[in-house]
Amino acid sequence: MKKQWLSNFILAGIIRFLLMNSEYQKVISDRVEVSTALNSWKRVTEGVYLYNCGIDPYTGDLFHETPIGLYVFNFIQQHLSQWILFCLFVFTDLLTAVFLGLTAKQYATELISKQKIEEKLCNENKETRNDASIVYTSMIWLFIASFQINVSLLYIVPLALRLRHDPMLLAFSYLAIIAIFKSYPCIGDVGFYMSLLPLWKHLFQYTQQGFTVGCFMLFCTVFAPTVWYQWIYSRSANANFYFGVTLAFAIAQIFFLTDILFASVKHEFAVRHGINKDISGNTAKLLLE
Amino acid sequence: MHFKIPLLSFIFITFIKCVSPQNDFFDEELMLKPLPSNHVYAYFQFTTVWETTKDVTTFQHSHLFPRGLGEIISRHNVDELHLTLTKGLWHYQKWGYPYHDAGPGAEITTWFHKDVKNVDDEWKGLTNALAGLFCASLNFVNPANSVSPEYTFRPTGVVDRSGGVVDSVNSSHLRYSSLPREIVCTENLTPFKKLLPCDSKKGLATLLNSAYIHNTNYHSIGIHFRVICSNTICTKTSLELRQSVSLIYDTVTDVSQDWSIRKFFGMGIRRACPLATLSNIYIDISSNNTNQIYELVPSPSAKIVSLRGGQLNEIAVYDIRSHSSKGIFNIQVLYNTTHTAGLNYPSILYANRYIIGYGQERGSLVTKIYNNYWQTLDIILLESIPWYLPVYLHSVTITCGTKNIIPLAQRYLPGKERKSPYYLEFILRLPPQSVTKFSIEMDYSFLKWQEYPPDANHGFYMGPAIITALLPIARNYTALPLDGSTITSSFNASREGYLVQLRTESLLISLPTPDFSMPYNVICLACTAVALAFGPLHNISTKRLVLKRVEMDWKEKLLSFLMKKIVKPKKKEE
Amino acid sequence: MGLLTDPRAGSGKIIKFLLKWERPLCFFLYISGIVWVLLLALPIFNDNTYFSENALLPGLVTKESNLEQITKQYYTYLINEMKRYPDVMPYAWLAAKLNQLHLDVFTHNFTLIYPFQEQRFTGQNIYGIIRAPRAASTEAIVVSVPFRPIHSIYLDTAPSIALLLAFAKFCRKQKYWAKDIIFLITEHEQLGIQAWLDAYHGVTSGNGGVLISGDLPGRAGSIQTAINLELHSMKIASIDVKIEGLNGRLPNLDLFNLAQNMIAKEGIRQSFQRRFDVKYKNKFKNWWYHFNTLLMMITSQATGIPTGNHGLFHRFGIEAITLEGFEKPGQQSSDGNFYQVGRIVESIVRSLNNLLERFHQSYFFYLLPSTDTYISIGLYIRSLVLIIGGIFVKAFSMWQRLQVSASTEDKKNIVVKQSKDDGFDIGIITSEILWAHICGVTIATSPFALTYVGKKLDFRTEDSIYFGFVVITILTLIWPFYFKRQMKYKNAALICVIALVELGTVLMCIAMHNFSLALLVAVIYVPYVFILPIMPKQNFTKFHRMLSFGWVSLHPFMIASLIIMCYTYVNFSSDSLPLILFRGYRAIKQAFVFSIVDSMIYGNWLYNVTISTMFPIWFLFWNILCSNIL
Repeated sequence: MKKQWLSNFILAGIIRFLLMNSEYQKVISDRVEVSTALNSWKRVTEGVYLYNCGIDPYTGDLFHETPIGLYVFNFIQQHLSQWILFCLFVFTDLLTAVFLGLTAKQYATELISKQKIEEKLCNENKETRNDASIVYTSMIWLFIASFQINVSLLYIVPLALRLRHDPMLLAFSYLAIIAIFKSYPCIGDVGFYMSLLPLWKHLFQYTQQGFTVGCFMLFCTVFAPTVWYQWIYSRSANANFYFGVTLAFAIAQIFFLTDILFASVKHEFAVRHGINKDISGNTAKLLLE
Repeated sequence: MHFKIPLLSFIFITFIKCVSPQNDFFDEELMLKPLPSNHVYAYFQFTTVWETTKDVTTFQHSHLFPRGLGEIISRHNVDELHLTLTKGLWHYQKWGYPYHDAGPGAEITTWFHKDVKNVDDEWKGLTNALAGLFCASLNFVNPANSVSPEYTFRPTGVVDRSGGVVDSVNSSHLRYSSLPREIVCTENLTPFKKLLPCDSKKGLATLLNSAYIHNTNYHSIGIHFRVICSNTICTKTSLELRQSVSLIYDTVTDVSQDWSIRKFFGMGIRRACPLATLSNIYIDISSNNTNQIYELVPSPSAKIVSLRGGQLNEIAVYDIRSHSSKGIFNIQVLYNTTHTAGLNYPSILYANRYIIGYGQERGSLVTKIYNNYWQTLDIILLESIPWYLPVYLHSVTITCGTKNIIPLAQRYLPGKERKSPYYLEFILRLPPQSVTKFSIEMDYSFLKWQEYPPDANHGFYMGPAIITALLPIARNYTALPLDGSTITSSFNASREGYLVQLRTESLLISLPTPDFSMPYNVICLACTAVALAFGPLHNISTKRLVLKRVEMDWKEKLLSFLMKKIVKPKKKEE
Repeated sequence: MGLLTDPRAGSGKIIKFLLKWERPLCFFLYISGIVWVLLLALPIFNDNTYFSENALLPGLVTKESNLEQITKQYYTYLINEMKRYPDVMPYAWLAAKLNQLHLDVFTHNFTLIYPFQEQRFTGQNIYGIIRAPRAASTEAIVVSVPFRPIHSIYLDTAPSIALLLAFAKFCRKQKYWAKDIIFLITEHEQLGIQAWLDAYHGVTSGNGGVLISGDLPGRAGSIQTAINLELHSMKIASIDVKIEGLNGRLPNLDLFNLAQNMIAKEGIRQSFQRRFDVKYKNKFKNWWYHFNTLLMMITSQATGIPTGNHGLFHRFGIEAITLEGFEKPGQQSSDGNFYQVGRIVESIVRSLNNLLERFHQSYFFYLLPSTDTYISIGLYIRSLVLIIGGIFVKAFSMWQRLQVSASTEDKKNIVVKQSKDDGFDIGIITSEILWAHICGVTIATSPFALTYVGKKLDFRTEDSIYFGFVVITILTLIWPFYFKRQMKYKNAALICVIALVELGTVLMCIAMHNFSLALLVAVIYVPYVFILPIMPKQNFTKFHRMLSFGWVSLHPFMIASLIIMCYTYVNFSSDSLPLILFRGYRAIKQAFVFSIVDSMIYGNWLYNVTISTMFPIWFLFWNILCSNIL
């Protein structure tokens, strides 16, 4: 196990390092899908430079980091050479991967033990049902057509109540919702929650739209730079194409999230009532109501 | 008899001058300078000097000074005003240095009185009033395109030190704005002419026919107001107003190289303005003996030799009063040779500006400054970049060949979206005989959909950069010295330095444009996507999974019912 | 939203239909795509071209030029000068002539460091700028001519240079120009123009350190459009308008229409792809003629090589075309007709002068079956979408079968257990795909290593690259046999699904840039992909084994060599077979080297993109075909 982790890390580190040192570094760092107004290193450099020149970085519109971040970045840029900075980024990425891996391992062991307990419970008392989940069916939802409301307020409480037994899945849903509705999304956000996907391998058998979602995501990821180039550089397409691709990608993510959540609901039901995962049988079917 | 009339008018004028309480003088001059590149530089200057102090009641009684302009100046507490409306680009390499540097479009520089509390309000009032006076869209000047440069501009007139504090000039009372998109045409020339004492009825102003003026390669009309000293010890001050028209004519496009006043302006000169003290035409014939051979018809009244800053110029002077006593007179320049390119002594300082990179995402702004002098030159570079082109100060590179040049001083104010432009000022020491390249990276930002101009999407303009320098020699230099008011004061006017404020090219930039059907599309589709998210999440949060018996739909129900009915009777039969 | 949370989804009628009729459906989609392409040339499906940009006002100006005599004078002087210095461009003469016309004249020096042999070549471009009166030099129009010395293998362009000078003389005297006009004479064909454009925009289009473009001493604002002139004689009988640019990019259709209309107005024959507009009475002959023109445009666009100097302007957003003038063969009359040709150039430049903004109204993506009809993207992309639809149908049905088989497997398990061998082995699948792509990228960047090794062994560049590619091909072919391994059927099937989806995506993306390339690749690869036998090895018959081996011929290098060999055969069919094979062999070597060098100098992505995308897909399928599937 440890050996596999180590070899994977070394491979990832090498790929990351090679990419950073190649001529593609500048191209990738300038790409609009990777660096946005909020996380662009170029703007950080500009803010630090202005700070060192005695000009307040917050008088202009370019710098959007926190003052503590400004101080930290100033320290980094003044005392670390370019090469060490690259290594720092690669190290941070690998560290993130280590933390995600450890989290996954912890969650997986928890899940197995939880399942064992539930199976025992199930076999002991088939009649027990959890009635607390029915309370909020009478709530009225105000639907304000605002993405910020969607991100910040709308889904926090309902999902928290629904998924209170599975905080990892709840966190995953929150991350996905933020990535979908955020103002300046980037590939890093999507990659973050996608990397947690293998935690729910047991839900894959319940998912229904895996193919559509996978196709859409791959297609949009590869197609987006093409239409961006056509709009901004070739001037032969217009903004509608890029907008369409980003919208399709957002819809694919929505399908994906709802699929995973519904698969978890089905899985819960199957575990509790011990029914075969092939649900659409001849005499009975499952309904949401 | 016929020369009694000019004599009588002269006596009349002196009488008026002695009797009237106003101490103002009006001079009209025209300078014609053939340039080596087969162009002719025509420069009109109408100077009004009024010996009075500037206070609240000054402009209520005006004589030669234009009342309309005076009221605006007094209402908005203006110490110094420079307004130019220009069409075309001045090529410093080919044409030397003009009398007034002016960038394409409209440019306005103003020093407000130091007692003014709210400079932005006065600035807005002033630009709107001038917009009305000159029929130019100066009302587009607002804080989002105005800067207060610290080094580039200095008051050229007398500074009021009555406060007692001898401090350096405070640039907070200076405003500079450039509108490169402005077009200059007849509507601007007509009110300009109306400000003159003789209007366009008599004198040199009769030559300003818009059909000819606007048919030139470069034309610029300018208003320059300032307070000057009346005497050498500067105990009394006067107000000076200079109205100028700069024109560049191209003689290559015509069959013959000969030119004349009638050819350039459509008519000869009938009379001088009776209210003018000085009414002269000058022709710079320095190139006659060295390069080209032409003769002047009729011969000039006088010839002046001017030695200025190491340059020897020979000027032919025509006094309009004496020449026009015989009727309309026309000055002709007849060439003996065919079209040739003349020998050009290149200017010692000039600059180019351009954008590199392609696409509508990012680019770089590059200013190239050429120093042709054998010594170093110190310059001040002012870049005023619109707020929709954010620049990165850390990407500034100033190189001369392979060497990096460190600026002697630097001022930078980052711009704020829709509030203020990016203001950059550098003091550089240019190495001798060198080309210095200044470059800075910039992004093209996305604008809100109602900020795009209507009609054809020509692009967005960026105003010119200004390069200020004090030249050590006066090669190709024509401008008036700081203490002079008329063109005559520029002859033999050697000084320690000769001030130039070069303007570079203005740039046309295409910003990324959305499709204007998008507001509707985006609202519909984005709401659909949000609904797609809301629906299932709501379902999952509020409903639970139950197992239900399969209900047969109505067809199956009917069939089974019929089957039962058919089978049962059969059974009954059996 | 019932759709997303409906537990019954997945067993609908449509899916059952798809699974049952998958193979016929795929082939039906493919055939209908091909038929659609064939039908595109029918006159019913073509629309007449029209002007979208009203500001052009084409042909409405009063033409004033009479360039006949002046062009003749310049031509005689120029021919004398070129005879005196037969291999070099007469730099000084051209600069002097432009100076005499009172233009701002500049010279531009550039250097090419040939990437594999470290040789340096230098060149010089000469250009003069007419500054528009009353304009602030914010925009410019470029009129360019490629200089060809007397002994060049290409057709002569001295008459174009003479016309350029005469036109410059005419333009200098006019007062109505709103944009600066740049008159550019370039050297070394496309190399000179690429260097000039790179220097103007301050970028490097290819790899750094190969084409050193230096800096330009004079500029004229942002360039809006460009016209390239290649007139081969003093009496022009027909003018061909060339549009194909680098990487298959085309100029705006308005510019093409403008040129064709102005040529027709002056009474000179217009052509496209060197073919005139002919209308046959016989419907089939008519269709066949137009289809051939269409096919010629498709093949010329697919290579991504520009057909003239205009092709290099397109990446900078500058619309450009080339006017190539031919004389009537066999006719050597002494009188020229540059009066008409000069007026054509004058009307085109006057119309471009009228523009307020860059070309954006008319089509950027189109196919032309003749000079006055067009096929828009909305019509022709459907053929490719049909073909790609087949790929997605196949991928989807494979995926569905995997789901169905997985669920039937677990029906046997009554209790849901987290079994160890449940589901797909993500690790193996990811590593397969990752390694295939890494191989692709490595091969795409291999030429440097190959030539380095080749230099050590004293090979010529084209030999080292060709033999290196042969070695790589053999290695990739025998790789799966060396690492004999076993794979479970569901892992293999999932890899296939991913490879198919990748193929569809890649084809669609390439189609957005260069439709012809995507169409040709789809036509070659897609039918074979449908019939590939992906099944457990025990079900393999001899036929299936043959099919697996046939996949070898679709290796990117193999298929490229085959195509070039066929092309050689078609062009030199009269020669004997060994000679054709030898010519083909030489042509293959040169084609490989040129495509690599093109990508380094001009940024032509044919080689890079094909190897990094098509090779991994081929390799994935080949691995699966050769491994032992359980």
